[in-house]
Formats: sequence, structure tokens, C-alpha cells
Amino acid sequence: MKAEPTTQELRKLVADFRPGRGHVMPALHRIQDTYGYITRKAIEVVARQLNTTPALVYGTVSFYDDFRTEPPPETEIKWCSGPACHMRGGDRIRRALEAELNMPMGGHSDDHRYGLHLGQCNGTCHEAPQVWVNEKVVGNLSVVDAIHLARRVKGSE
Amino acid sequence: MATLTVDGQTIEAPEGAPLVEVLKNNGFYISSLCYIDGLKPYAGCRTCLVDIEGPPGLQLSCTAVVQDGMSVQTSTEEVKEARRAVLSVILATHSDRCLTCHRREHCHPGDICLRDDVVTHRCLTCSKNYRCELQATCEMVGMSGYEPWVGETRSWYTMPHPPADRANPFMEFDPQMCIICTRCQRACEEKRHTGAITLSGKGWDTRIAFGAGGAIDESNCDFSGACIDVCPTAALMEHPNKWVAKPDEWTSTTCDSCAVGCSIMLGSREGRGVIVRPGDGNAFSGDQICVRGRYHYDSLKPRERLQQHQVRRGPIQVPATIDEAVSQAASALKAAAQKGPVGVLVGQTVTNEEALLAKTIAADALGTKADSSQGPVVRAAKEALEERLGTWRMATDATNIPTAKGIVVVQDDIEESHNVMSVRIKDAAVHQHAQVIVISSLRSELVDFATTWIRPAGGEEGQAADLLARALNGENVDDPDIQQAVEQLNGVTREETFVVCAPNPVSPRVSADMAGGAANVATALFGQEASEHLIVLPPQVNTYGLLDAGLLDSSTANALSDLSGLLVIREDPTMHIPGAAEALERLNALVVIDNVLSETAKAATVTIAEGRAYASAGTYTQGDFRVQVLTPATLPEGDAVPLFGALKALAGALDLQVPDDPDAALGVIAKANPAYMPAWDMLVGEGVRLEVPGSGTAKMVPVSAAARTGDGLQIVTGRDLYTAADAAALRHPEAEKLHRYDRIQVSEEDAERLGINDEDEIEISDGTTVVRAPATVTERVKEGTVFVSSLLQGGIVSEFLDADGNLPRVRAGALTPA
Repeated sequence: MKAEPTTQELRKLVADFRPGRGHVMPALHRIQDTYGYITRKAIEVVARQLNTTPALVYGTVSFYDDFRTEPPPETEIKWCSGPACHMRGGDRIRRALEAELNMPMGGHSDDHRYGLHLGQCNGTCHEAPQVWVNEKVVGNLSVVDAIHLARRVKGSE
Repeated sequence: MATLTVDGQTIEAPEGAPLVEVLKNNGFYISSLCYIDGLKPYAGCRTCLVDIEGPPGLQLSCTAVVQDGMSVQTSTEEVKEARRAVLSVILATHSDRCLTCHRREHCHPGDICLRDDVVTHRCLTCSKNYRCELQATCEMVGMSGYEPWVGETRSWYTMPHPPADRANPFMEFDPQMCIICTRCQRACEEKRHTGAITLSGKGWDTRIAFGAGGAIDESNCDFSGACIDVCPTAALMEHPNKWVAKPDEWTSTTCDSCAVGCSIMLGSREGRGVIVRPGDGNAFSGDQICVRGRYHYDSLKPRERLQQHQVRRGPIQVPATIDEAVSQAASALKAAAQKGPVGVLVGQTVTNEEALLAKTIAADALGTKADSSQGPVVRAAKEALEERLGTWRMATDATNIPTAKGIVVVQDDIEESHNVMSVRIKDAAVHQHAQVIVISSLRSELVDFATTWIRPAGGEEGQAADLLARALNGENVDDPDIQQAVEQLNGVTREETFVVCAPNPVSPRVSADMAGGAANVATALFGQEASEHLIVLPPQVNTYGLLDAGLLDSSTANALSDLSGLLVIREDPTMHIPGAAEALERLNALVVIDNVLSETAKAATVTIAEGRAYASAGTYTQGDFRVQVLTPATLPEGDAVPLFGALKALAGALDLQVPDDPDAALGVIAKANPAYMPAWDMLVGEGVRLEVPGSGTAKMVPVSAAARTGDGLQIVTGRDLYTAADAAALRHPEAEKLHRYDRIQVSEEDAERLGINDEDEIEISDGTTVVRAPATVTERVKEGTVFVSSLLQGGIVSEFLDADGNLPRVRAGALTPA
């Protein structure tokens, strides 16, 4: 996990964005891509840079599930919620992961080592049903595969 | 005008007006939980359904507009049933068992609920009970017994709710009461232009959130309470007195916190203020006030105010009756007058009528002229204006500001000193796309609305304005910001351009420079009509009333140490005059009339307890020369008497003839100064604007370069938004309840250089005066300066003033190395 970014670092990161040009989402994406999550300070920095209010930026952050306001877990399993995965039994994979990791969708372990999140279809449907472990596709899963995967992530296997 | 038929009645209304407002104003009941009068319809609650002849189905009266020949039904069975159905959906996000209970009127606080409603879900345990718009709406729409969900499990009652935010001293936010009508969000955005509130999340999880999602006091909320005014439930409430804010009397009066002149409605119970709402019929403030107007009625608890008159017996002050106190005061002042000159200092929150009595006492009994502790600052700005424009009375009507196309603001931070003025400037920026040129070294929120921000060194706003004036006159000024400002100002019509200036309230030199610079800009822009386009907002509410009464002509405040005796009326010279505390100790007689035991009152020979401004009857003359009424809204505490009564008693003891009551006093004022005649005749709501003719003359006088003394960081000061002046006079630790301005603000660059962190205890010193306070590191302050609020530690910043009225540079450093 990276250290919390300083105000100066954040200002530098978003310095090329300009007000009134629909730059809220690109700025937030860049911050999340760089630091893994969006801090309150980051919201204030983006608001200042784009000459808008922190409230507007926070409203955007809180609207999209993909933006996080706390650090991501070290290992993140994203479960694909797309229709192809659904038709090939993705829901069973989800239940297996939730049960084995002992957390609901969107949860993470107390020590922030691993977590389970909802993902949106990325088009690699030939791999369905699939999950992404730290953004790497792990596809053609069976329930047994999913249980093994969860145990490996937990470190119990 | 269009004619429409409503429930068989014919009414007239302007074509295109929002139907819901027309219906409400004509006495028809329309439930509407999300509409805010005057703003764009939101059409979120959908309870304002009416039946309009023509289009199929029921229509929303908030989005419908008046058309000629329209026929509207507001209370058919279909409409009523539809409203009930809609309201029942809204109630799914609120504790509603009481709201739909047919027995509600019979229920008492101690009763056991026969329907198993838990105690925290009952209306009776809600602070907004009986003043709740949702409750009233349910009553009017007939929700009693309307419970289509009976027998079903209801998720609102089983789900955990986010915790309430009660972390700040002003405002509480309880999300479980919220029906997501978004009125607060729109009021904050569209009425205040603050935008501190947003909708977070989506779907069922949608919530109101502040700032970047944390506590209210961590956001950019400025606690104006505009959201509280529009909240239909108890989701947003005033924190102080929220359980007792069911006034037995509402009084329309005038805020005493600055010279903008907002009307307020002060609700009182048994003579004590419990709630403030914006007043009616004020053309400038409208439905807006600021945190000072809304909460400073409560700046001190009643027991913390002076309740007894006191006379000195050797080292102690003992309680006395008013007769004893005034007779001792009179004889002490007379005796002091035998030995040397006697001075009179009058606070600038006294009314015109009280000022007349003070003036009479000073002139007729003590042979002197009354002054004010802030006299030097006020005179400095006044002389700067007179030198350039021939008068200090500006003829500008402030109600032009919201529709202006160009505005130049010369300020410390007008957002903090004269808050509602900044709201109106933002109105112009948002609605008129006005060119707003802000000249200030402090970064205020107004800067976000500025088309050009000219940021001079701290305390050199006047010089920067002077430079702008010269550039407007065609001089070549090598500064890109000023060139841009000139270009922008030349692009708008002169008639719709105004200059607003709020001179510094502490340093006479900075005050004069700012007023002078602003006058130069006005002269460059408008020539001989400069005084018709310039507004100069004085430091306190009735500064111009006192000037009009000729009260600030003498310079008592400059020469305290020469006096033998002093009469101080509702103010504290130790807050404004350097070295005042020592000078007061040498006096033969010191008589104080005040409502708090200030440092001056502690040293007094005689103290007469008065009620504060809200207990007074009288008038104030505001920054734009509107005369506004003060109606007694609260009773003085304990033995204290209204100030007019105290002064009258003192005048009586000095064998003077004075007017019997404030109304008679206003008559005397009007006879002496005919401008006040209309004020004497009629005074309601927004007040009467005095006739101020344009001066017809204007000349530019250069503002000389700022004198700089000492080395280190330049002190910058100004009035802050939150500190209560009366509590500051008491040196009360909660004078600034948010604890933002009881610290020294340091710029980010200087903090890094000097190793100062947020919250570090720091010390600033010019070699003789030393001030210690926690530091706040902020981008508000420009590199090379430190900001010290004018009321920090009872106005200690004035101790830094030198003989020329300058503030020095100071050394700053953390007391414990970081």
C-alpha cells in the first residue's frame, strides 16, 4: 500500500486539468490509477483545480462504485458481473468466493490484505466465467477453481 | 396579467409565473416539499399535484406556469388521493408511524404507544415537533390512517442509519430525518453560491453529504443556515436552543453584526432569544443572513452578561441599584471634569437615538465631544474619501449590486466582514456573468467568482487599487492582472459597474489607503459621478449613524492618556486602542455602560448594566444609508436596563433635559438633520434610504506607498466571520466557537520555511508586543504575511499599531520545535 499522497503531490498530478471542460472524471481516474484511491484531500485539490466545490467532486466519487475513498486491499479479486459470465454460472463463482473469503461483495479483510469487488464486463467474454486478480484475468473458472483461488489469496493454501 | 380559474374562483396572475407560487399566494393549500420559492422547480417530491383542464392526468403545479384562461382544480378527490399516495412513498424514508397515526393529537410525551412505535421514532421526541413542514403537510393532505403498508415489514425501521453530525456549535444534521428533497443542496448552491452540500451515492443509498463527505465543519459550509430555513424536516437544525425554539413572540428587527443591514426575525421565549430567521421585506438581504446574524443572539449565555449595576468600593465592585449607580457615575464624572478633560467613547452598535443622548451628555454636561474606540480607523477612511470625492456619504444604492455587470471589490475579506454583501456580489457573478475584480491579499471564496484576482502584498490593497485606477486612466502599468482587469472593465457599461470597498477595521493607515484606492478606481471609471457608484462599508453596524450625528469628530481615542475621566458606552477601548489598559488605570473616574464585564468594565468606578442591541428600540444607519428599525426583541438580563434608559437616567443625574423615548429622540435627530425626516415618518421592513445626493466632484489623489517597519512577516488583519464581538470583549474562550480564527494563520510557504505545522503553538513578536496562539497553515494567506483576526484575544492585534496607524512586520516561530 502506498503512503497517503501529500497536497503538493496531488496538485502536481492534476495540474494540467482545466475548469469547465468535463475534467472531473479524468482527474479522479488519474488519482485513483496513481494512488489506488481518492483521499479527501484529493477531492479538495481536484475541486480547486477545476474551480468547483468539493461537494460536487465528492458527489461524483460517491456515485460511481469504481471510485474508492479508502486504500485498496493488497490483493483484490474483482468478480465480473457481465451477462456472458452470468450465463456461464458466474453467480456460483460469486457465492463460492463470498463464502470462502467470508465477506460480502465490496468487503475486504480487516488487515486490508485481500478484498472482493464487483467488476464490469471488460469484453474478454471467451474467458467467462471470470474474475480479475489485481486486474489480471483469471478465466474459465469452475467453482472448485474459485475456492482454490480464494484459499490461495487468503494464504491458507 | 393572465386570468385563471382555481376551484371555481377567478384570480389574476402574471403570465408565466410558477403556478405553485400563485396558488400559495392566493390562499390555496398546495403540499410542496421540494419547491423553493423563486428558484427553478426541481419536481422531486411530486406532491404538488393539481388537476389542470386540458392535459391528461394530474400535473405538477411547480413545473406548470400560469396561462391565460387556465382552469385548475386543487382539491378534487382524485387530487387528494394522488397526493396521499405520493406522500406515502416519501414517508417510506422517514419515521412515519406518528405522521399517519389517527390518534396523534391525543398522544402525550409520557404515553405508551399502543402501536409499538419506539420512543426515538415518535414525533413527540423530535425537536421539530409542531414546527415541522412534513408533519403539517401530512396533516393537511390527510395522511391520518393512510397506511397501505400495514402488515408488511418496512425496511426503514430495520436498517441502520448513518450517525447524526452534531460536531459543530451551529448546525446539526441527522440523515435519518432526511427525505432527500434536495432543498438544502439547491439553497446552498443557488441562493448562497457556496455549494457545500451534495447528493452522495445513488438509489436507495442516496444521502445528503457536506463538502468532501466528512463533518459539516470540515467542509466549506459557512453556517449561514440557508439550508435550515428550507429543510422540511428535522434533518437540518440549529444546534443552539433547538429544543426550546418554539418562540412565544417573533420580533422583526435588524442584525447588529455589520453594516450590510440584514433584517432578522428574532424569536424569543420569556424575553430571551431562542431562534433567528431571516426577516421579511428587505430589498438587499432578502431571505439571507449570515452565521453572525443567525447565531450571535446566542454568543453568550444569559448568565454571562452583566446583570447588576456595580459601584467601586476600594478594590472591589459591589452591586448597586440603578439610582445609586447613576448618581455615583454623575458625581464621579463631574469631579473628574474639575481636574481635567473628560472623554466619552461610544460603541458603534448603539442606535442613533442612544447616540444622541451620549452626544448630549458629552457636550452639555462634560464639555467634550464623543468619540469611538475605532474612531481613528473610521476617520482615516472618511478623510480619504472627502479628500477625493468631497464627501464621505456615497450615494450608491446597494440593491444595484446583484444586477451589476461589473464590480471591483477592494477588501480584506468581504466574505468574512460583510457576508451578505459577498453573497450579492456572487449573485451578479453567477446570474449576470458580471466581471468581478477582487483586490485582496487574502484568498476568500469570492476569489472563485472573480474574473480577475489582483493579489497585492498584505495590507497594500489600496496601493493596488490606485494602480488599477491609473491603468484605467490610460497609464501604462506593467502588471498582467491589472491589464486584464482594465480590459474586462472596459467591456461592460459604466452604469452597471460598481466599486465596493470594506476598509480595514484595525489599521487607520490601511483603512485610508483602501478607501482612497477604491475612490480612485471609482473616479477613473465614473468621473464626477464616482460617489454614485461606490459603496464603502464601515467596520460596524452604526458607524455611519454615529458619523451623521457628529460623534466621531473629536479624537478622544487618540489621546486617552491625557484624560481625567472617561465615560464608555457599550464598548471596550482595550480592544482597539494600543496601550488603552494602562491609560484607563490612570483615570480619576471611569464610568462604563455595557452588557458584558469587559476589561474596561473591570477597571470601572461605576458600571451600569444595559441590555444589548436586541433589547433596544431605535434605528441604525447602515453602510448604504438605509435607516433600519431595531425593535426590542429580548429583555435585558437581571437588573440591566435598555441602553436608552440607562443613558436617560445618567442624563437625569447630570441635570440634563433629554428626549423621553427613542421615538422622541428620532424626532430631535430629524429636526436637526432633515435627511432623517422620512425615517421618523415611516419605518418598516427594509427601512428608509436617506437622501444622499451625488457629490458631483471627484479627483484622484495618489495613494502613497505603504510604510513598512520591522522585519519578518507582515501582519494582515480583518474582521472574521465567526467571532462574536461581545464575547471577544469578555475575552471568552468560546468567542469564536468554531476555533478557526482564534489562531494565527500562516501561509503554506512560510510554514514550510519556518517549520510550523498546523496546530503548533506559535509566537509572533515585533520586539515589544508578543502574541501566542495555535497556528493554522492555509493558502488563504499570502507568502510573507500572517493573518491575525481583528478580534483574536480581545483585539490584541491593535497593540501592534504604531503612532502612524501602521502594522509592523513580525518574527514568527513555533514555540515547541516541530
